Amino acid sequence: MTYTQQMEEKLVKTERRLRIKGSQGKTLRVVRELYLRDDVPCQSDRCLADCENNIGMHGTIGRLSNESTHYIIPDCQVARDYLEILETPDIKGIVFTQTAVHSVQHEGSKRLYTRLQNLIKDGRKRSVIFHNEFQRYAYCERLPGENLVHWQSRSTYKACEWYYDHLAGQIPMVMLTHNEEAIQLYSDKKVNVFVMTVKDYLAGFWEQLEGIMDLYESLTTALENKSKDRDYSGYLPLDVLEAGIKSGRYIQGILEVNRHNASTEAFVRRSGRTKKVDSVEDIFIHGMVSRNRSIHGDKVVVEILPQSQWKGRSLAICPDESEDKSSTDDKESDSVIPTGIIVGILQRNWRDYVATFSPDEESNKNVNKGGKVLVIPYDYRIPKIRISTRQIDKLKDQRVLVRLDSWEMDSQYPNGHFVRSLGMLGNLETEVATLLVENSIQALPFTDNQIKELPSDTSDNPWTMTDEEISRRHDLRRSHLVFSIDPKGCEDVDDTLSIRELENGNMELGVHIADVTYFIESGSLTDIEARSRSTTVYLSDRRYDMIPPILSSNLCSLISGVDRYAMSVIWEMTKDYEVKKVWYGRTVIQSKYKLFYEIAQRINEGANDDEIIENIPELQGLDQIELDIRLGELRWAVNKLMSVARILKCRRASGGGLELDSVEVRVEMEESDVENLTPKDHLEVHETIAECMIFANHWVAKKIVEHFPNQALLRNHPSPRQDQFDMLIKCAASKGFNIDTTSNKSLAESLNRCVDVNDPTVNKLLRQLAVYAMSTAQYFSTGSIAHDQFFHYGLALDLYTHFTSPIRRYADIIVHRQLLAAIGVDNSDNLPSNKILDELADHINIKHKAAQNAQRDSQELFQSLYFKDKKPDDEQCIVDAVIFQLRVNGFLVFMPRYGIKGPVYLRNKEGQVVFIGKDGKPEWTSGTLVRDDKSITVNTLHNSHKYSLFNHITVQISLQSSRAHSASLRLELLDNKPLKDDKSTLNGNQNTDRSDIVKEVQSTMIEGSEKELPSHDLGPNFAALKREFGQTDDSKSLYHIFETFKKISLQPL
Amino acid sequence: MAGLELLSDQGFRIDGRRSHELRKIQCRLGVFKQADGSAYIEQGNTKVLAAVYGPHEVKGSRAKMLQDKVLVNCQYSMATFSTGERKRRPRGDRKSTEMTMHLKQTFDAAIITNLYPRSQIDIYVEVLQSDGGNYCASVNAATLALIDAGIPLKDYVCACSAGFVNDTPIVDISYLEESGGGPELIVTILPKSEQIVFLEQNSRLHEDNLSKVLDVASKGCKDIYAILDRAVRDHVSKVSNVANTTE
Repeated sequence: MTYTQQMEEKLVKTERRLRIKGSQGKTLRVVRELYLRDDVPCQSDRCLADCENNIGMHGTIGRLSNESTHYIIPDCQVARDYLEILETPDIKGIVFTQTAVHSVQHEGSKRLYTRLQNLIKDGRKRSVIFHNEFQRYAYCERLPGENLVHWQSRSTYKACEWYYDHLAGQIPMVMLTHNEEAIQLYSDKKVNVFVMTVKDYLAGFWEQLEGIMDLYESLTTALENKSKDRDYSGYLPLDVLEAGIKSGRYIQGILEVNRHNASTEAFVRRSGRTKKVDSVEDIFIHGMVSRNRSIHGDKVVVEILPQSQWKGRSLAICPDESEDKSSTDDKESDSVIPTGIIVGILQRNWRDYVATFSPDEESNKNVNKGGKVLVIPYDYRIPKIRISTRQIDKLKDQRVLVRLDSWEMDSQYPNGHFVRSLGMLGNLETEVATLLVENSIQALPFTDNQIKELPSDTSDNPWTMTDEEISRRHDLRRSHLVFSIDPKGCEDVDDTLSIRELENGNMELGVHIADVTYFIESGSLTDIEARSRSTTVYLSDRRYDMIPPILSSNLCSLISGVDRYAMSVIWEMTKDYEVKKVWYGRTVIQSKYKLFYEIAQRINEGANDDEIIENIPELQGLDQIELDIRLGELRWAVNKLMSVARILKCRRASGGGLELDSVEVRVEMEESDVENLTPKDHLEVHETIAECMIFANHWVAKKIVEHFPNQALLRNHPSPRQDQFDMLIKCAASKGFNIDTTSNKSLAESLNRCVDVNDPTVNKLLRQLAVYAMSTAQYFSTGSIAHDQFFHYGLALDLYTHFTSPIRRYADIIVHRQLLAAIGVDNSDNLPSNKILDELADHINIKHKAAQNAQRDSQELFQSLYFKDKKPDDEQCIVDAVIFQLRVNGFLVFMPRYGIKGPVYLRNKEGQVVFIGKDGKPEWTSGTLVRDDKSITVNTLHNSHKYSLFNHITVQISLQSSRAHSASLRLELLDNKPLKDDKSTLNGNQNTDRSDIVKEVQSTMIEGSEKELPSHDLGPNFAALKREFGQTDDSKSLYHIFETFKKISLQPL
Repeated sequence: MAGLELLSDQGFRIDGRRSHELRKIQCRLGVFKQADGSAYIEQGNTKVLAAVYGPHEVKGSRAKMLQDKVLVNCQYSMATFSTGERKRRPRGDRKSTEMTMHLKQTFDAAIITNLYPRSQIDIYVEVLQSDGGNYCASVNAATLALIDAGIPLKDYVCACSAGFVNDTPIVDISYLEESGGGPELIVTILPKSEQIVFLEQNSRLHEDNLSKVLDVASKGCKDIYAILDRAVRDHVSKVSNVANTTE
């Protein structure tokens, strides 16, 4: 009975009459019921009326804060047209009415709606959707004959009033509208409920916010120029596309433009979750016309052309600037591939683009009148963008951020608008900002509110553990010898180990990981921030942390001699190393020793006492008796640990495990803990640590899958497609090796056999090719793919996840929470459901990829800066190179000295070929190139020369600078013989490696900023400032770890 | 339909209900004088009229007659004006035949059939306006009409539908929510004994979620029971008042 009474009090039923256009164009009269209620939550912290505000997904975070000085309610038009302004991080406390959201959804685009949703989901914005049409006192019925716009602004104002009254006038409300009529009608109706235009609002409230007015201006100009036509005219209607996709006539996929031949070549990668091997190859899109105004990354629909019109892709390595279409024909290969044209676009996937104004003065002539100007995007794959701006003079030599708006049917270029400037061209900070934007990485400093959530640890107010928390945990401080093994000087230790013998003779192995989830609550600001970052980003000269430094390098870091909270996995093993029992749980530990790799290895090899004591500060200053006991303990533990890991590794390898740690550095970075890997030499102890981590990850994966069969976060590595190995097999065959790719085990074995005694680079290159053939490992939610796809090809494990580095990967944080719920410490209510987890896994995958790309780009940036001022005949610019791939007009080479790959052209644009004359100098003359499977031959009148795979040649590196794009290295053939005194160069010049590149570039950049840019405020103090605020100490940067990998690879076997 | 958000992040459905809330139910008993029992029910915008005749002799072919229990005869039909577009709806089409069968099965199980061997009870159901949950409204209306006719039932028969959106079960789904293509579970129970009389599912639903959705639907049935019961009591007291005053 109570239920029915409740219902009647709470809900009032009304009806809404709508006219809906049916699929056949008929208008249909529809009546929908609508229930009005009193209890629509206001979601404000200032609420006095006990609204049920905790219903939202994010707990207390996703609501209007009481720190805002006012709340903003945009009307429908503003929400649609100026969403970008509302997205500015400083503007907080926005209330989107349901009316506005509907309008964005139906009158705007799907993309716009997604952006609006992301804005709401972003807890930092403290913005909400208010369901005004369900609130009894905020709803206004649309009167018969009332104009839609009029009704919308009336609804919005009523919502404004409601908020103001509901919060008892505590806070002023601002309604943003561009409707003059509404401003006149409502602006003076109520005190503290303001109605104004966006312009007035920005001028009045956000004067101090730099650049926001510019953004407003450029948005307004872009709007003025927007033609009435819909974006999508010229494409087939959506229902035709959908029907076509279903019937198989059209194919949908993601457009990917070939970076090296952007104007003609693009591919459509078939999308869809079914990653079946039989889904043939990608569809080729030839030329801008068939690309039909789609842009790299868009989700498009393709129609396949009849086979007679199929084209082959160009096999030449194209110079980037080549626009010469006529010459492409002869380069095309005979083998044609499925070719298509784009008939529709399902979803635009535009991001922010970095662009530069063209240096050509002519093209900018009429710009000062606010006319249009073309800018060249940094990314080769993106066409030029037409923007309207009045600030051309100011921005001429800067890199600017541009967003796309539309692409008209009759236009050669898409339209966009200017967002903000990134800084002067060629400045190091600008270039780094550029590559962050290009990889969609946002790295703002942590906000005060985020820091405030976390405990502090200062000298006058040190952080301490609470007894209550300790009593809840398993205390390992007395019972276990816990120690860590890391690179020298490592600050953020997130894993430690322990091993001991039990009374029954069994072995007990423990892995203890920093308990980050204790400090970061699900849904807190720090959590949201960490989720959006997903990973720590390591660039060559700096690092962008995922979680604030107070945690990453202090409270969560398991340094020796300090009590720390940890998450532990402890196995009990029999004498034959079979796991008997496994225990998971929260613990308190104190690491006894913080070892580094070299000393651990020395202990295993039987170093004498003095050497050990000298290198382990924890052992110094003890009396002799205690010292002996502790040394004994330590020796035993390290030795035992290594023998256990050896067995585990053997077992995994014999089960078909690809021995990744020797396959290639990159894979290893991917699969195990970077922090645990070798800085100096490849020692056995590295494998020991990596193996323990893999073991822990595997067992945690088992546990969470058992408890959450449908929503556990795991990591899989699909088996590679066999045809991807073609290149590898071909290359190996040219050297007379046979590669068996049928299984991961056979692949590993055959790779081990491919060793050329005279040339260590052969094996290196083949292994790299093998890695290219594999797909990357990915996170996924167990509910979203079939059980037989959970396996990890590289590690040969049926289940795998990431658990051991919660400080720098968000996936590990989720896994920690899932594990806690699985062992019953935490409740599982707050865990993400399969759907959310699936989206999250995608997000993390994308972020990881972006972080890797950014890392690679920053290395390239530093390379190019390094070679910038070198004279071409500088000794450092002339290096030895190995040919590893052949193309029609040249070949790709690998330069072991710098670890760089690049193209070498044998034929230039004029059709001349290069050959090495009698005096050993390269000359350009007319001639022909003949290519077969294993070699390429240059024929000229005088002689001919043959270049085979794995030949060593000498090349000269020079910098090909570019204004709009990233600078690239140009390689020129100097000699067809290896560089003389090659060996001595390799060994003697170890010091010129990539870390020196970074250092040297940094120092020159500092000088540069002193001289050329006196206005740059960091100026002469830059080095000092960097010391103080720079996030990464050079000696700790991941870059250096990379570096050492390179060094290892350079050492002759 | 793709753009419609059936359940917002704050837990509101398109029509402003929360996931566990029923549509507004209004009902009346004894709307016709000619029939032995009749009832009218509105569930949101779904409006259904039911009339019951009997028990009486078996009409038509005597072959249909059952020796041990009463023959329950149902007929379901939709008015031509019941949907947005006027459409002629012949009686014998597949959809209404199916619905008729379902109703017959439901009431065969709920009526104490062995009290009237060799006789027949007719249940006529007419949907006047359709906005989702036609079967549920029909069952609820027919129950009221049977009670009005004084036919002994084991218990009230209450039907309610439930859907599943964004990992949340939603109760009493409307036409708009039905047409989204998501899973739909229709449950008919005897509320006191909580026995399930009838259960139908459309579209796929993961096994793990079945019990969640089923619980929500049963809860909806019990809420409907409370409403029907009150309507019956009101009606009875009104009738007895009228009887008292005429005496």
